[in-house]
Amino acid sequence: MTAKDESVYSELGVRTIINARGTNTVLGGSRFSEKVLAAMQEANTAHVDMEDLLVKSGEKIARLVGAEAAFPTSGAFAGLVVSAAGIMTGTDREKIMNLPRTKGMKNEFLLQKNMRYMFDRCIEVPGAKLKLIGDQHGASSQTLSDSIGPKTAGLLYPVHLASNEGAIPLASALSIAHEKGIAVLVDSAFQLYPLDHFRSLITSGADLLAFSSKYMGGPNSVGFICGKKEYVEAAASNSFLAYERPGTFSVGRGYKLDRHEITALIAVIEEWLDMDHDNRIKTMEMHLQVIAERVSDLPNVTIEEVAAAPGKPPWPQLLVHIDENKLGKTAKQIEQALIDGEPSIWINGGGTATNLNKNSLIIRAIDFAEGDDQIVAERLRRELT
Amino acid sequence: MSDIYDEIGVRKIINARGASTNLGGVLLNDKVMEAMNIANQNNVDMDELFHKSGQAIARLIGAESAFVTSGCFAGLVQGAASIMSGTNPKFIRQIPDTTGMKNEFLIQKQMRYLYDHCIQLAGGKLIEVGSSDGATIEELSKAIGPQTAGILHPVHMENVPGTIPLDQIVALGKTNDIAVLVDAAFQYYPSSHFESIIKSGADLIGFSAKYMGGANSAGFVCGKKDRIEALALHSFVENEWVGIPPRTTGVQTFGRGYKLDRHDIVGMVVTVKEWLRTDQEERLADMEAKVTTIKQSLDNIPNITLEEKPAIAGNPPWVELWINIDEQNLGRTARDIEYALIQGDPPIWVTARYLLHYSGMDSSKENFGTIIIRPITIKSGEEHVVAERLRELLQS
Repeated sequence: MTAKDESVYSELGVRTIINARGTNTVLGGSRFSEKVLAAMQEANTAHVDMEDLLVKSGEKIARLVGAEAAFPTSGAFAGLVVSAAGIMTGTDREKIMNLPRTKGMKNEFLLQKNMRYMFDRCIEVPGAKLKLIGDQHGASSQTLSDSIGPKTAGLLYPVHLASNEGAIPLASALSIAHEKGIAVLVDSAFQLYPLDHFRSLITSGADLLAFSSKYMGGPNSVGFICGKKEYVEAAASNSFLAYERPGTFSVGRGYKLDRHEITALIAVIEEWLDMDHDNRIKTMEMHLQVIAERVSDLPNVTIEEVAAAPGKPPWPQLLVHIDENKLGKTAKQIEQALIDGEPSIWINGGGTATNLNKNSLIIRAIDFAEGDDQIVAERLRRELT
Repeated sequence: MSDIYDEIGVRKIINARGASTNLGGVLLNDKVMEAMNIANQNNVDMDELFHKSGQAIARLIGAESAFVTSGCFAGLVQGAASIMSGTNPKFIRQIPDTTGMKNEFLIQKQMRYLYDHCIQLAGGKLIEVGSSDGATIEELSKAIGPQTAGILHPVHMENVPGTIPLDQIVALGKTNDIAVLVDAAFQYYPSSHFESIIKSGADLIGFSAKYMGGANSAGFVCGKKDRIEALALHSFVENEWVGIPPRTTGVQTFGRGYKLDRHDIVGMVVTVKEWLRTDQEERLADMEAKVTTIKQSLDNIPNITLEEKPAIAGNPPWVELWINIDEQNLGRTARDIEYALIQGDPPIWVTARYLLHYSGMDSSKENFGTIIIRPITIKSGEEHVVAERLRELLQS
C-alpha cells in the first residue's frame, strides 16, 4: 500500500488516527473503496435533475435490495426523521408544511420501553411524541395492541434491540400494528449482514426501514429508506427535494444530498451485495487475532471474540474485559490513553450510552492498513500491563 | 462511454439555472474534489476536525469563530435552535419543544422569504414586524418582548424598499441583548460586501458552499465565539460520548441528521480558500462571454428584449441574462419555454420568472414573461447549445 497523503489534515492541524472503533459517526464512518470514489468522481462530471436522480436511484436501490420502493437519504437518522414525518403527514402538503407542529395529525409513536435507545430522538425531531409501552423487562403483544389509540401514528422498532429481554418480535409487532392500521418504522441502520438477514428485514412487511451506508463502506452522511410505496412517497414528500419543487416547506430541507453522495450510495450497495463477505470478515478476524494473542496472557484481562451475527453490526469484535480494580485503570482511561498516544488509536472503552460492556474495551478492525494490527496490539499490551 | 448516470437511467442536463439545490448545486471545483479524495485516505476524529476546520475558516474570512454545517439552511436551523437553548443540555435535548425558552424570532414583514421556515423547524415562532411596505426601527424595537430570542435577517432581501439594514439590526440586538441570525447564503461578492457582513457584529451568519464552487450539502456558520459554541452543541458529534473528560455532551441532539463526512468538511475549507484566491474578474468575464454568445444568437428576434444583469452586492455572485418576453405577441409564456427546454435533448434547465416570486428574490410583482439564464453552471461549449435552442423556441 502506498503512503497515505495526510496533507489536508496536517494543514488544519488535525491528527490522523488508527480507527479500531468501527464505522463510528464521530470518526466519520468508513473510508470509501476505489469503486465508490470513482462513482463520486463520475457524478461530478455532469449536471442532472436531482429529482430524476433521487427517484431513479430509489428505484434502482429497490430493485437491488428487493424492496417495493426506496429513496436515498442523508443517513439513517435523517431517513427515520423524514419517515416519521411521512407517516404523520402522508402526502398532504398542508400537514407537511406544519411540522413540527402536529395539530390535527396522529402524532404518537409507540416504542417498547426496553427498546429505548440513543436514536429514538428521530421521533421528536419532526414533532411527534414517543409513547413508551411495557417496562424494562419487556412488553406483551396484548400491551402493544391495547396501547394503539386514536392518536397513534406508528410503532418505532429498532430491530437491533429485538433480542432484548421480553421484546416483541418484529413479525408479531407487524401483525398487531397492521391489524390496527398503524405503520411500523424500523431502524435497521446496520442490519446488513448476513445478506439473508438483510433481505428478510426488507421483505418482512415493515412499512418503512432505514439503513445507513457507512456500514457498507459508503458515506457517513448517506443512507436510504425502503418499504411500501405509499410510505416511501410520503417520506420523500418531506425531503429536501420537496422544498422547492413543488414548493412544500419540508422538515427535511436541511438533509441535503449531493449528486456524488447518491451515486456513491448506489455503488456501495452494489459492492456490498457482490462482496465476498467471508473473505471480508476473515481479514478482520485475522487482525483481531493478532491483538488477542498479544494480550491474552496478561492478568486482569479476559478475551472474548464476538463473531459478526444477525442483529449486530457487520463485523467481528474483540472484547477485552478488564478487572478495573486490580489493574488500577478504567476502560475509559485506557481508551483515552490510546487516543492520546502516538499514533492516536481509537477503540471503544467502557461501552456506549448503555451500561453494557462498561468494564471492557471493544476493538473492531474494519479499516486496518498493513501493520496497524501490530501497532494496536503493542500499545494495548503496554496499557494493560 | 457509459457512466454511473447511464447505469441509473438519469439524463444529463445542461444547467443554465445556476446553483439550484434541486439541480445539486454546482459541479465541484477540481481542487475541492482533489481534497475530498485525499481526505478519504485517513481516519480522523470528527470532533477535532469540526473545531479545527472552523478555526481555519474563521481565520481565512476574518470572523471571530466558525463551524461547518450541512448547508446554510441546516446552519440556520441549528443557529435558531442554539439561540433558544443556549448551552443548557436540557433545552438542547428538548428542541423542537421550546417550553421554558425564549422562542420568538422577529422578521421584517417585507423580508419574509422561502427559507424563514428554518425558525419553525427548530421549534421557534416567527413574528412579523411592520407591513409589506417596510418596517421602522421603532416598530422593531417595540416588538421586542420577554419571549423574543432573536431577529432573523435575510440579508439578500435588503434591496426590498423600506428595509432596515443589518447594521441597525445589529445595534438593536446589542441594546436589547437578543441575537441576530443572518442568512447570508450567497453574499460573498464583491469581497468588500462579504467582509462587511462578517464584520457586522451579527451573532450568527449562515453561508452556503455551493455558490463558491463547493458541495450542495455543505456550508458554514460564523459569528460570535459563544454563539458558535452553543451551535456546535447541536451538531451530530455531540450524540456520542467521547473521551475523558468527555469533550462531547452525549446529548441526543436535534442536529443528529445533519451529518457530514470527512470529505465534506475538508472540502468546505478548501472551497473557502479557493474562493478567496479566485480572480473574480476572470470568473465573471467567463460568464459574460457566455452571455454574449447567447445574446448574439437572439439578436433581431421579435417580441423579446435582452438584459444583461451584472453581479452586484446582495445578489448571488454571478452574471445573468434576462430574456423578457412579450408573451401575448409570441403566443407562448416564459413557462412554456422553460418546459420545452427541459423536454428537449439534452434537457436545458433555466429559470422562468415565476419561480423568483416564490423564492422572494424579486420585488416587482409584474411581468411574468422572463427567462433567466445563469451561465455559472453552463459548461464550456454548452452555451452554443443553449443559444441555438433558445433561438429555435423564441423564433417560432
